[in-house]
Amino acid sequence: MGKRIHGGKCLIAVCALTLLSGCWDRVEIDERGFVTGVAIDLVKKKGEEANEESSAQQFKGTYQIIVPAGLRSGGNESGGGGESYFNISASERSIMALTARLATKTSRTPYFEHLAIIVLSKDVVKGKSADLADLLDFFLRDNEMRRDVKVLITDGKASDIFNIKSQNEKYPLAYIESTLKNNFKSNYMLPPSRIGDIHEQILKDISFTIQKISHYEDGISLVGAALFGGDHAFVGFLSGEETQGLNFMRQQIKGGVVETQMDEQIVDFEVERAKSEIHAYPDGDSFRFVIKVRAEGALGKSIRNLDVAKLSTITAMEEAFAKKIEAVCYETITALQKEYNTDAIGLLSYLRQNHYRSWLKLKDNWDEGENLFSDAKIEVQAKVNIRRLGNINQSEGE
Amino acid sequence: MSRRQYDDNRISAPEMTITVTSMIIGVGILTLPRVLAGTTESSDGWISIALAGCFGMLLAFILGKYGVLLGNETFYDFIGKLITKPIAAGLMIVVMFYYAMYASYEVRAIANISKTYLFERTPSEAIGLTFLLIVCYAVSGSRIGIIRLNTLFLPFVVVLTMVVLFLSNTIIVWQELKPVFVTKPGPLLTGAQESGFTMLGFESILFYSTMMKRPKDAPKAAVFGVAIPVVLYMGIYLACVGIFSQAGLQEIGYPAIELAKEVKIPGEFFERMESVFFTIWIMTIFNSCTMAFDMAMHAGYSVFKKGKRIHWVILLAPIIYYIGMMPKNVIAFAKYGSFISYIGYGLIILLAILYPFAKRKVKRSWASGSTGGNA
Amino acid sequence: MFYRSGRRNSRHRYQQGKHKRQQNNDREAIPLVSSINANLDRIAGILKAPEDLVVRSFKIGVNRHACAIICIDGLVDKALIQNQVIDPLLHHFTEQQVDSANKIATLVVDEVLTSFDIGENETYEDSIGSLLSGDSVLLIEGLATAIIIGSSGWNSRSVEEPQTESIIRGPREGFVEDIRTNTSLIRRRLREPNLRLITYKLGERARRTVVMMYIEGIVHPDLVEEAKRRIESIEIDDVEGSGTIEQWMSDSFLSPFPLIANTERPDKVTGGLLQGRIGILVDGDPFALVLPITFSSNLQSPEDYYQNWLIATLTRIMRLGAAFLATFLPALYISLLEFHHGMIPSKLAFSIAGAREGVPFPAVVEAFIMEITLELLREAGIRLPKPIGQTIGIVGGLVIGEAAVSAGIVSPVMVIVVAVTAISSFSFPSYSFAISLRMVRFAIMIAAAFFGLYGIILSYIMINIHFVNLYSFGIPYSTPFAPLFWGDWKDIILRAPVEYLKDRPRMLQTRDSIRMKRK
Repeated sequence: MGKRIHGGKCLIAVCALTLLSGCWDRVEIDERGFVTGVAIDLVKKKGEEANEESSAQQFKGTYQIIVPAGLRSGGNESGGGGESYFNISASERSIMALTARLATKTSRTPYFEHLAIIVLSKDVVKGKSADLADLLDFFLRDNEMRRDVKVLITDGKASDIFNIKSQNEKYPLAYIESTLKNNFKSNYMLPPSRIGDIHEQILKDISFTIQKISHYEDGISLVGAALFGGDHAFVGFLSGEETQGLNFMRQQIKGGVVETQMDEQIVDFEVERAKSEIHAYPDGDSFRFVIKVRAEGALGKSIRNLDVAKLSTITAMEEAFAKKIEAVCYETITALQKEYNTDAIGLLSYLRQNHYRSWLKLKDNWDEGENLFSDAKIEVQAKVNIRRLGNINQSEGE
Repeated sequence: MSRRQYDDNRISAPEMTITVTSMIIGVGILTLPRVLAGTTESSDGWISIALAGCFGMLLAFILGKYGVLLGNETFYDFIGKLITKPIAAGLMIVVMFYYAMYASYEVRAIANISKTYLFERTPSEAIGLTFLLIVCYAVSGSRIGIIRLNTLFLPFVVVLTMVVLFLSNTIIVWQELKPVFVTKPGPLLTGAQESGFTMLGFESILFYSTMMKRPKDAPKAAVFGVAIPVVLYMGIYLACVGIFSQAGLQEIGYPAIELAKEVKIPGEFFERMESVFFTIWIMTIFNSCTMAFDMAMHAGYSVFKKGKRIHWVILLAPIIYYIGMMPKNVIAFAKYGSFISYIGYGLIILLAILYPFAKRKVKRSWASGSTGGNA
Repeated sequence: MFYRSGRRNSRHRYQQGKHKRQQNNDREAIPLVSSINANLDRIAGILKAPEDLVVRSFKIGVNRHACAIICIDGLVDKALIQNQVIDPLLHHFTEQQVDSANKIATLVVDEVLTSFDIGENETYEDSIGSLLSGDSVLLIEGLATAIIIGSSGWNSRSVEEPQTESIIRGPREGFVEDIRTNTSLIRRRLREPNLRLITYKLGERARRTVVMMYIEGIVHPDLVEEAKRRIESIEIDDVEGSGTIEQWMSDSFLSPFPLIANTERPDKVTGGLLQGRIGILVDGDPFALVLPITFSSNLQSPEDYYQNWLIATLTRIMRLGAAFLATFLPALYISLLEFHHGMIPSKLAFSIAGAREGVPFPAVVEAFIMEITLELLREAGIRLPKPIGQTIGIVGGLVIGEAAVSAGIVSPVMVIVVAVTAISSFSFPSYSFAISLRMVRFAIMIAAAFFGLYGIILSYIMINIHFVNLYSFGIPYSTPFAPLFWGDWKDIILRAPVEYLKDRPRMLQTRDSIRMKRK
């Protein structure tokens, strides 16, 4: 027994000698530059390189890096000595080169393991030379980033968003990060778009949507959606209401308000959950769809002298809300079918999952080629169930 | 001070099952979902896994029956009686190299995956070397000690996998598993072949059954030992399809680890599970590598019958390391893995075919009263 | 040490066991002579007439027969000698008229002396041995035999609560240095006729009494054989304490982990005896040994059995968690802060990075500095007298930690980590195990400094390999985890309700495995 342990320990001793050469991966935590967000804009480079490649454009990447010492509030020293973040940018042809270029500009090498958000300006994802998949390749391939990173598309310049001052949060990206999760309060915005999901959608060659972020003087807004069609090219933006319809049809509702008019007064319905069932019926070469939406929730605002204790009132309200939902959905469908020719509702996926053989036949012609999607008949049937009425009955008597 | 033989250093049937399971669960599952997503449609990969599993269980059962015949003899002596000593010696040399390559495959796999997920700049040679040295330390102990290590490590791995699968419940999109049963038999069989490669490891029953308390239990233990990984693999595969969808799954390098990356711990008190997942997975890869090394040594020793344990370790370790570091990149490495699996299955099927002859010979020697194997 | 009184061929304690005293002894086994003065001179000569050798000569009987009683002052209870030996001899021996010394001896032993322990021996060596053990030697003129009277009575510590192992609920008796008291503590708890106490005198020059205890019929005979063999093979000048015997009897001197348990509590020893283990008591050392033990014994404390099973189970789980923390926490700190920053949640990572801004040392160096400082504090705290020791511990910890943080040498997180580690390592019932974990912790910290989480897992694997190949008296150290003894799991982490603790631990392969009959 002594011999065996000696033999094994000799080997260990030998290995210990080789290890003394150093630890390669040890990096102090305060030497890291934590990049929390990346913003990418398009920059057209004029002049010399116009004859080189057709893509005479470069990307301007802006990284937001955290200064941890500035995050400390109060404490021993007087806080607020420094900012808690800073933005640096560079222009290169690819993201990898961007990162390398930025490493020459700052003392803290960029470190992506806490990357939370990628903001892309719409110019960057429009055409063939500016391709969403190409851009996201770096973020998907490198191990530092997770598939959980959120992607946002913006109208104007992406780098402007990184300079927003927020009252509550210490750095702009914290503000954006918490706001994009608020889809449980408002259904005019999409649920957060994860880069992993986008990757899958690109691979499946279907159309999809990404959260849209817009910049105003006093802040940001996440209303609307960015629509991506065939070959994952950017097609256009959906408005708030169209997004709401899309959310209802894709069962992405986590909350929010449905507002309609009854007797020319406004009534509000607070949605708690909504289910959507798609049914497909063969219709010639294509299909006919019936989408059943069921919403459930509480009464948000009623008309001031409407007696909601009566069953008939409730039923009338439910019908009014249901009609409003159907109207919104039809608005979305029209936009998708006529204007954009893009199936963002997920009907193609539904066909793949439930009518596999037919899907095999028509998948190439759905929203490209013959555009079978645009001609498909889609019917929406909504039903609303108001479960709770709130604390009061009427705010004004008869 | 000599150690008294307090217990008789033999393993029971449940421990044999754990041994077979530990040997099978290794590096294969980390890439298997991607391969299956490439050959089968939608979520039908589970059928391939099931097919490979049944085939594996059948082979394990036959090989386990060898254990009944062997009794206390080494495999080499037994086979030597059947197919003449020189051929048996050649066979055992092939076995020895096969297991040496298996061990080197595991070492290199650890180096590759650790380089991707745990380290950035540490050279993979260093990672592989430290791993191999720890394996040497284990192998230079007793054989029964190696079996005990399996019992110590397997629960961690199984429990962790269960936890990850359980937590992934929240992020699985169940619709992605539809449609079902849409793949044609051809791709299913190709998928089964790939799954079969990951099931390799049950042949260890041949070499460890001599250590069992009751070799009669060997076939049953082996079959259970194959069943557990089959169930586990199906679970992981389905979870991967549910989370990444088949299209996405095809493109992800190591899906099982990415699965752990995606899982969200309630409370979010630490973020990236994949480091933990992979480090615990290292334990079961360590087990497979140790057993492979041990079996290579055992094969060599039973032919030459010379040298102490430590001598064999010193002889084989550098060979294993060097072979392991030879493939130049990940693709060459994958081809190397397939090559090893082909050899493995070749050996297994050859031995399975030999079994009826072996059984007949043993029966004859019993009938004639000479000393054959004792059951 | 039960003598059968009065007979010449009484079983001598030296004849128990196969002790090799004859060969190794350089004192000759010279028999006594009849002349009292010659004997006295010889004995005094061998001992070089020390001050505390007291000789009381007197004459008994009508014939004024010469007798002398020798003892060593300080080792004997003088009142006992006076009352039980000298008084009866002087006053109750008067009428007899006896001629031969042999008859006098028989008469004295059978009818006069009122002492309890009486024996005889025939050589100088044995007589001196008895003298030095606190017995008195009675020499009678004309008798070539000495009569040994047990009269030991020295000052020893009274039974009090053990210092190192206090518990909330349970007996507060602890062993003392006197071996007779210790054996009495055991006997009082176990009134079992099959309890065997086998005595050895170990150490060439110290002749220390060592008692091996086991319950015949429960313990495996091979275990007893092996333990006996090991004890009998110890040949050194002195076994200073049970620690020395423990090291001599352990299977491996290279392992940092304890292979034999030591305890000051009688209930732990009797618990072990009933489970099929062997206990060893050493004269002069209040720590008893219990062997063999495996890894699972380190998690158990007798207190677990005095309380409700739920509480006991949760406490054991907490102990296991404490073991994990005490070993791995500093290493985890190093690896998370140096290698795997992604694993820390974002906000925590930023705040830690902010806190470490001004700190000059890398986390590794910081961890080592703090750990070594803590070890120094701990050692210092043991040496200092009680009241100062505790204050230094608290003051040292707080002040030094605070000062270090303010000076910017260490970060506050490190102080927390070190404090939690220290607290966890104090929560073990087994001090030897806690020490081993301290050593292992440093080794794992070094591994983590090189390879981060990968290093930690490799160290864990190495420790397991070590456990698996380590044997304590033939039982693998990792029992009952591997090899699996499912029945024993009822009492390791989970402490099953008392109705279910029917069997003794299977891993000890006891002869009688049922401790409780079903109702």
